[in-house]
Amino acid sequence: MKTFLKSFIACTLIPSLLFGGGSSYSRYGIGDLLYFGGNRAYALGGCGIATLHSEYLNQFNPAGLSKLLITQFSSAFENNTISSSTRYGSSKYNTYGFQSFFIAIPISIDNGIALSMEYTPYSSVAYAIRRTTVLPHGTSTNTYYGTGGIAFLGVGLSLSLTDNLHLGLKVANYFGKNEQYIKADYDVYYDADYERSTYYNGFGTTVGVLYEHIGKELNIPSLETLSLGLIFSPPTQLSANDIAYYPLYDTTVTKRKGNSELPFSFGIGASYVLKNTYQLLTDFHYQQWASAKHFGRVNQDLRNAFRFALGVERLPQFRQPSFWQRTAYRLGAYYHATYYNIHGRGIDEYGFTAGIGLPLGTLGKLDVAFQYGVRGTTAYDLQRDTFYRISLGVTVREQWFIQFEEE
Amino acid sequence: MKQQISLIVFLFLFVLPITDGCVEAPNSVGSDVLPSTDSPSLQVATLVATDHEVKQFFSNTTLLNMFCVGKYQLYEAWGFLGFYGFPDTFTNISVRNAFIRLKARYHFGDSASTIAFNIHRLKKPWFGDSLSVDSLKLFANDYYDARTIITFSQTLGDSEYAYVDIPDTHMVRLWLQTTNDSLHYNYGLLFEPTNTSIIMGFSSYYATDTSAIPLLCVEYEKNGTQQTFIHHLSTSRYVASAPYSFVVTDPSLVYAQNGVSYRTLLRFDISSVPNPSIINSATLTFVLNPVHSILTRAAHDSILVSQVNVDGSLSFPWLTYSTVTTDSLGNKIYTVDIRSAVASWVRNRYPAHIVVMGYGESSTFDKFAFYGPSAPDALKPRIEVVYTQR
Repeated sequence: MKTFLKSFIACTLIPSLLFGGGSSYSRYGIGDLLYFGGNRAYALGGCGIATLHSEYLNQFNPAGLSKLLITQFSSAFENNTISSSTRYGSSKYNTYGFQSFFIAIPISIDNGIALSMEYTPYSSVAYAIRRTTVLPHGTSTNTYYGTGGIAFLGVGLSLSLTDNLHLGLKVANYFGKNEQYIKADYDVYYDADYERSTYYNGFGTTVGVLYEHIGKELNIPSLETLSLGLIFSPPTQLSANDIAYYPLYDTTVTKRKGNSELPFSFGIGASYVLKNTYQLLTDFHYQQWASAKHFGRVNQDLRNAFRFALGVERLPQFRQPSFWQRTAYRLGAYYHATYYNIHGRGIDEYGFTAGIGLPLGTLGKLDVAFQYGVRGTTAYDLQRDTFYRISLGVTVREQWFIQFEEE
Repeated sequence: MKQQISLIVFLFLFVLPITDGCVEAPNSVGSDVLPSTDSPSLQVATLVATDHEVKQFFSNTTLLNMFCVGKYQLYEAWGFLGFYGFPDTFTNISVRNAFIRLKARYHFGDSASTIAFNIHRLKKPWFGDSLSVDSLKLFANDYYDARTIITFSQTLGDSEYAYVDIPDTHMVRLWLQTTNDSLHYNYGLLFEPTNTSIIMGFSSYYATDTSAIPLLCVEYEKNGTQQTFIHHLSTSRYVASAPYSFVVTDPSLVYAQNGVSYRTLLRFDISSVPNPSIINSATLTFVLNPVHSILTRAAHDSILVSQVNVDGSLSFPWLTYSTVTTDSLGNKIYTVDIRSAVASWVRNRYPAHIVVMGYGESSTFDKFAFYGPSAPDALKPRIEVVYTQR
């Protein structure tokens, strides 16, 4: 198992070193925001705030780990093919990215105390554009590359206040770098090229609440399996350092130092288990980007964002002998009003997801998910992005901290 | 079962990048989405010289391909020539006859005039930085023997040989014996100009044409046998002068006087180009004032510019030399690419100063006179800078 785990981690990290182009929208803000709540949530349209299960790791809501019975490691990576089109043409890029590494350890099962640690990308910047323009005295071929993103290292803790009410807290260190490289090739003048990098670092928190068995509290038996979840994150100030580098002169200049804000956000979710066979989920996320300041100024190219998702899973029947009966089947859909507000137009996205969760015996699970999404429009000099994403996640279980009774 | 799933996982990991889609080279898709501020935009600034200063520069190099002698108007050049490195076989010889052969390669002044000079024996080394025509005249007794040992006068065309007889064979014998006898010395010869209408340039040891380098021919007798020895190893230089007021006939102009020489330091105001900026192009332009210039066909019609270090010394390597064009009004325009210099000015690594000198400064006496900072805008020295600001 250890060999397998090490090999898988290696395979997960190596692809993240690759670089490719992507959507020009990621030029704005801190890049494309990545909503990853775990391997299972990925296939459920991104739903997971109200998920509480001993078999699944909830990366959205720290309170969702309070049912954990055994130490679990989870890792995932994604292959993303994006086709961007405008009125004038199209381009296609493929990127191979690491999604998350998560470990959760039950500390006190009776009290629902579990400790989690994770490394998860939070945003991604990837674009590559080349354009030739005619100048009064010649032509210029401009190349624009964007790369980078923000990730976080998080530590979470869950606690069961009662049998049905669970709390969680996650503290995360956000860090990363967004890089922009621009080169102008002139046929009349010497070329100009420079790099602009913004470094981010700061701490943020997420508080989670999860209330299960709502029907019992309301004395409505049909809602017995209804769970509600809530997460919220206060605004986070990241230190931001803006640096320019001029390769031709080997000169680095600090353009500005200041703060960049991750805004207030909250999410609410609900899950309902139907006939012990299907689980229905819905989530709503909201982020207040319109008032978030970057180096003291509100970014006019950003707006408040929300994401609404629906998901359904045919629950795995763990006691069944058939492999395919012990497999989980998932479908989902989402609508995302992204935080991009380009040329005065909000950029919206919608998508569909599907996936399966394959049991690996006592070892863990293998989750495969597929996403199809469309974002933007070709009108107003904007672009439409079409996503095809495949995610592969592995969750491995191991018994740690076994206490044996003394004879 | 575990092995089967592991195999599936690994195959998925390594096959997926190959089978899933293709990656295209960057194209223009998405360029309209980018903010307009991302696009590099070229800005143009014109820098003008704020002031200038003409100074004399003394060259002490003995590595030139010629040395000069003569006078023309108030230009004056004195030459130095010495033969060294004789073999040690010349003991107990008797020198019968000796002469020096020189080849003319350049003239400044009246080509039909006679070149005339007196040759003196030098009494001390002449390689110092401080040697000039003025110091030579001021300390004549220290530098050379006042007695004229050779008088030469001849009309020479460019590329003609001049044969200078050396009547003082005793002196030549002493030269040959310096390799064996430390009591004797050989400091070479000084060529004192006595004509008025021409300065002649003779090829030196460093001329590319080996048939043009100076040679010393000695006919001698040893042990009753008459022999001829020809020697090529020599070193030479020249010092030249011209009064400041004679060269700088109009103080408002910028001068590059070869031969003597005079150079001009120009100072520019760089404040209109922000730091940091990427310099895409920087062209320095001078407009020639033909009335105050003396240009001969023998000279390279070009100037050289150099940056200046913080301490005022010239920075190496030289920047570059100019190209010459003619504008619609018939003015000769000299342009120099100084992009790297302007880039260093913007970053405060060097002061915004330029030194102008003639190309082939030590091989001609041509004078370039350009309109200066006080001239009309179309004529004054200026730098057209194209830059990208980020």
